[in-house]
Amino acid sequence: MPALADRPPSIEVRKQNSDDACLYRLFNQYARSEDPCLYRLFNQYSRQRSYSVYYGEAINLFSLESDNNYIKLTTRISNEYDLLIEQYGDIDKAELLAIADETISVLLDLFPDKISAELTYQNSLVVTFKKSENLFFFERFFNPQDNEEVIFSYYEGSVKKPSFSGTFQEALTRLSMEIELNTDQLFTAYIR
Amino acid sequence: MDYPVVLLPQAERKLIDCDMSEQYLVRHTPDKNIIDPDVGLIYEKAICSPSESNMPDLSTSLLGVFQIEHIQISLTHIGIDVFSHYCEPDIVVEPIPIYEQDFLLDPERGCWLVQILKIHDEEADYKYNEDKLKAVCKVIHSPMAWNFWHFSVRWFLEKDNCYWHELEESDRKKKWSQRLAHETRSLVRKFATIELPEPNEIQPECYTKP
Repeated sequence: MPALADRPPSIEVRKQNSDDACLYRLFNQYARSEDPCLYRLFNQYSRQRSYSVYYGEAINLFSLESDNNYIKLTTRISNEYDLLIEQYGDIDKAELLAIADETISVLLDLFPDKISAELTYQNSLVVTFKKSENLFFFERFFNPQDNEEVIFSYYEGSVKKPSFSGTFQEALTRLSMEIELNTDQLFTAYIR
Repeated sequence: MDYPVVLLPQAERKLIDCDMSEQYLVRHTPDKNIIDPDVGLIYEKAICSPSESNMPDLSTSLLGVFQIEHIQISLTHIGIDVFSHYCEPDIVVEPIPIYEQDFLLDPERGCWLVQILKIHDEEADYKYNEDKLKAVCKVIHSPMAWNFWHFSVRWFLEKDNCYWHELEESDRKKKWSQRLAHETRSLVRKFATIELPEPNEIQPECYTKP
């Protein structure tokens, strides 16, 4: 087993269950090599239990949460389109939902702690998500002009970081870089 | 229903010249559904009305003499034509707005608030883009004929040494409009609250001529 300092960044996933207990799952990437992951459960009184589970099992648990968020957010965008039909009427609903679907799916893959999505008055979709102390605003326009269809800005705590605008792919690349830069720092504290 | 005259510009008033950074700006919302529970922030659509959404220049009011109940004031079309324009702080507004003709009260409205120091001088920095853009958010006292306490949230472009709205019409201005509108909305969402702050009186000498 590698020394702690040599381990790759770990991933934290949080979930609020029906009993208002916070579920924390923590697993390290080296667990992909069939090592068990650390899995910890905190209830509302901060009492905790630890388990060992295998990577696939943890991923399945995460996928369930991710699917729920995906369904909730894409349904919300569909309903908002109907409410804002005066503004969005020129845009085909299926096309808009396909763009929203792609955006939400990709951002869910970044393991956000909290996430929300909303249509704006600017013919755009804004996905807002929190990941540890970072808050991201990811805006994708439905009528791209000058090849600039995505803008994102973010805060590290209360500190505003540089923003970015570009194509969807360019923005995702930049966003992933920003998140990766912080990953070690964000999760090291949880490694035992 | 008489129009609250304390909101109007008056002959003895001047542009506010004290440090207002501890004070709060207030902005009405169309209804009281303001907070998105999924992320605990105000909704995008609570920040401004559809007609304002393309402008990175956001209208707010300074909380203090302008009180929370004043957010219900909604100018009619006639009221907008007559009173919704920038003006000097010391003009005499006559006649004053008339209920039902120039303004109505909208009890459905809610509001959000943001402390000036949280957003004033914040930077929008697009340093990774080829057409780099660096702009600084400025909170500016900009009296209007219906509201002396009107404040604008605007963006100052360091390289151009002017505000965004002062740029000549161009593709660049249009493109930056999208970015700066995004910045305004993100900034407000990050720092806005719906909790009323403790009252913090604005000293009359800050807005009254000697």
